Amino acid sequence: MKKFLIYSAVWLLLVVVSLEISLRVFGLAAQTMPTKNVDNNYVFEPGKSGFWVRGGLKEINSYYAINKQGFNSIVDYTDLDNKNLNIALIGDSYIQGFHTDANYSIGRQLEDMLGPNVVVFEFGRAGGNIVDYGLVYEEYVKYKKYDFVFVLATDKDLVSEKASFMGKGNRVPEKDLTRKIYDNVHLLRYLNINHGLGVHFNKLINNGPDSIDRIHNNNLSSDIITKESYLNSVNEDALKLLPEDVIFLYEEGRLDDVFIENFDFKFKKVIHSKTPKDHGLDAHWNINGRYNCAKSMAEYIQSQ
Amino acid sequence: MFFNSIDFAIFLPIFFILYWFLIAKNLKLQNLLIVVASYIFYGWWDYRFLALIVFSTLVDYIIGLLIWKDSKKGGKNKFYYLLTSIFVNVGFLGFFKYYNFFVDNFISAFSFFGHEFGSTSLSIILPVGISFYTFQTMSYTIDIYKGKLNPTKNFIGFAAFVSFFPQLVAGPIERASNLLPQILTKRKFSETQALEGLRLILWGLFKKIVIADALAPSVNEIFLNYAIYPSQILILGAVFFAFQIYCDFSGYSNIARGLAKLLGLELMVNFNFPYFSRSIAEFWRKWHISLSTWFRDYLYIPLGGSRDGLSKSLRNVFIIFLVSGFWHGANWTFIVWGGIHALLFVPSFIRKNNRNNLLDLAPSNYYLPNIKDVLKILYTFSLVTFAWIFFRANSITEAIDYIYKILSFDFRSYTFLNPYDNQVLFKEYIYLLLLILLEYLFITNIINFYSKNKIYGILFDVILFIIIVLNNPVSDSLSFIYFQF
Repeated sequence: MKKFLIYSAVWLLLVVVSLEISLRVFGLAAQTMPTKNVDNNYVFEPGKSGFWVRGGLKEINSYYAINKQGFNSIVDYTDLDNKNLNIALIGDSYIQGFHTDANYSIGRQLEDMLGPNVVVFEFGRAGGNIVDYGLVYEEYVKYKKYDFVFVLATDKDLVSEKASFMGKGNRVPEKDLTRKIYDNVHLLRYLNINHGLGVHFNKLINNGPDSIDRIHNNNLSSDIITKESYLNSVNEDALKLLPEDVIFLYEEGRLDDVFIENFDFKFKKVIHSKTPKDHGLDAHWNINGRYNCAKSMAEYIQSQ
Repeated sequence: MFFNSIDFAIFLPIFFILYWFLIAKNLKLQNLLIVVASYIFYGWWDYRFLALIVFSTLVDYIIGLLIWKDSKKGGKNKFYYLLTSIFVNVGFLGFFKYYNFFVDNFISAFSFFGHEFGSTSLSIILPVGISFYTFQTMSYTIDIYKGKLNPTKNFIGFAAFVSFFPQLVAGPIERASNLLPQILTKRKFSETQALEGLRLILWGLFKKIVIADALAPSVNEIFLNYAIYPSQILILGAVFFAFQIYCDFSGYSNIARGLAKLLGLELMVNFNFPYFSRSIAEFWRKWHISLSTWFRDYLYIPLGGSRDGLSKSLRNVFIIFLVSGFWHGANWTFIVWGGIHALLFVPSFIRKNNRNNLLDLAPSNYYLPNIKDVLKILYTFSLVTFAWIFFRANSITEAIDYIYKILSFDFRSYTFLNPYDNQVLFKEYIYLLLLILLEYLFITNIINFYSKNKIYGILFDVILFIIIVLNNPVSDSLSFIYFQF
C-alpha cells in the first residue's frame, strides 16, 4: 500500500505540474478579468487589454480592450463628436462581447456597414438587466447627443428589480490569499472556468445529485405566462428611465409579443441572415451572430 | 453517478480510504461498505429504483437457497423455484423495458387486421442498468440449478455481488462463479493490481472522454439530419458511431475493471480489441464478451447448441443473435441489428471456421500486419459498421433511408463542421488515429509502456491524463450509451 500511495502521489504531482506548465506555455487558462469601481459602477479595469480565452483548447481566443468607462470597447464615450452619427448600444454579455475580437464587435461591424463618420458606443456588461440599462442611459447617454440608442434585451432582463453592475462598485472583490492563489494558478482557473469546478461543488453541497426525478420535475415546472402576469412582472420603473425613441433590439422568442404590443418603444428584430455560430462551450453567438445584429441595426438606421 | 463526473471523483477516494484503511481487516464490513456505497452510487440517479435491486437480490438469494435445499431432497421443485427467479427478473425487464414495445406492436398488428384499440402506452422510466443486474442475478440461480455453484448464506456478500457499483449499471455481466467467491474471500491489497486498476481507469476515461464524447455531436447531427448530407458524410457518421459506441462501452468496462482491481477484485475482460477482428465470428468473441458468453451458456447451449444437426443449430444461432439484439432495447432496429449479425455469422458457422483465430490476436508478433489480415480487418469492420447503422437509427425506415442515401453515391464536395464547436474535424481524426495506434501497440506488444522502465509508464500515464483534461468537453459529463440498455 505504501508504495502504491507514493506512486500515486508522485503521479498526481507530475500531472499537476505538467498541466500547470502546459497551460502556461500554451496560454490555455482563462484570465481573471480585473474589475474596478468606476463612478460606483462595478465594471472592468479601464485601460486593460489582452486576450480572453475560453474552451478546453482555447477555442475562443479574442482580443479585448477596456475603455475609460470600464466597458469592453475600443471606443471611449468621451470620443463623442456631434458631427458624427453617434449610436449607443446597451446590453449584457452579448454587447460586452468578450467572445469576439473587440475589432469585430457589433459596434465595429455596424460602423463598417454604415460607412464613415459613424461611431458606435458600446455599454455592455455580463449579467446586465433593465435596471442597469436604465442607469447606463441616465449616466452615459442622456446628456450626450446620440442619434440612435439600441437596447438588446430579453424577457428575463425586464423582470429584474435590482441592478447588477450599475451603482454596484462595492462588489469589486478584495484580493485575499485565496483569490491571489486562484489568480496565479492557471490549473485552478482552467478547471473552474472550463469544468465548472466551483459551480459543481456549490451545486453538490446545496442541491445534492441531479436525480432523474429532479430533472423530470424541473422540465415540468415551466409556468404558463398570461398577458397580465407578464405585464405585472415587467419592471416599469426601470423602463421609465428610457425614452420612447430607444430601439429594443430583440431575437424572436426571447422577447415576448406582449411587451412589444404594450409598450411604446421602437423595436427591431434580429434577422438571422447568417447562421449564428457558437463554439458549443459558449452559447453566445460569435462573428456571424454579431453580423446579424449589426446588419439588423444598419437596416433599421438606413430605413429612417 | 457517472464515472466521468466530479461527484464520482469525490466518492471514490472516500470509499477507497474507508475500504482499505478503516475496515480492511473486517471482510463483513468491507462487503457491507460495498453494498452501501453501491446503493448510494445507484441512488444518485434515482433512489426509487433501488427497491428493484433490493427485491431482485432478496428473491435470488432466497431462491438460490431453496433450489439447493430442494436438490438435496431429490430436486422435485427446483425447476419451479428457478422459474420464479426467471419470472421475477424477466418480469422486471419485461415491464420496465418492453411493456410499451409489446403493447404498441400488439395494437399495430390488430389495427392492420381492422381491430382498433386505444393507446395504453405508459410513461415508464427505464431503470438504469436493469438489463445488467437482472442477468447477473439470473446467472446465479441458473448455476445453482445446474449444480455448478453452491449458494451463499452470506446475504451481505450476495448483495455486494449483485450491486457491486463498478459494474452495476453497464457490466461486465459477471458470473457468480467468478465474482462471488472473490467477494466472500478476504482481500489483500496488491500494489501491482491497484496500479493496473489505475491504468485501466485512465485508459477507459481516455476512450470515453477524448474519443466517444468528442464524436458524439457529429454522430448525433449526421444521424438526425442524414437527408441533407452527401454519401461520404453519412459513411463518416457510421464510422464515427462505430468508434463512439466502442469507446463509450469498452471505456466503461475498462473503468469498471480498473475500479474492481483497486478493491482487490477481478472482473472479466469484456472487450478484447474487437475492431482488429478478421471475421464476424472473431468479432463476437471480442465484443461484449460477458453478454455473448451469457447467451451462449444460458440460452444457446440449453437450446441444443450445435449438437442437433445443422438446421437446429442455425435456428439456435439466429435465436441468440435476435435475442441479443432485443436485449439492447425495445425497438425493431436492435432486432434487425441482431439479425444482420446472424446472417453475417452463418457462412463461417456453416463452413465450421467460426472458431478460427481463437488464440492469436491479429496481427500478432509482427511490427506490421500482413496485407491479407489488414484487408480482412477492414472488411469485417465495414460489415460491423454497416450493421451499426440499424443500431443507431431511430427506426428501420430511417436506417434504410440512411443506407439508401449512401448508395445514391452523392459525393458532392461538402465541408462538415463539428456541431459542437463549428470547427472542421481535425482533432477527432488525430485522436482516432492515436487510439488505433495505441490499441495496435497493446495487441502486438511492440512497445510496452509499463514493462521495462517505470519512468515510461508514468510519462505515458501523465500524457494520457493531460489529454483527457484538455479534451474534456466544457458541458456536463455525457452519460454512457449502454446505461440505456
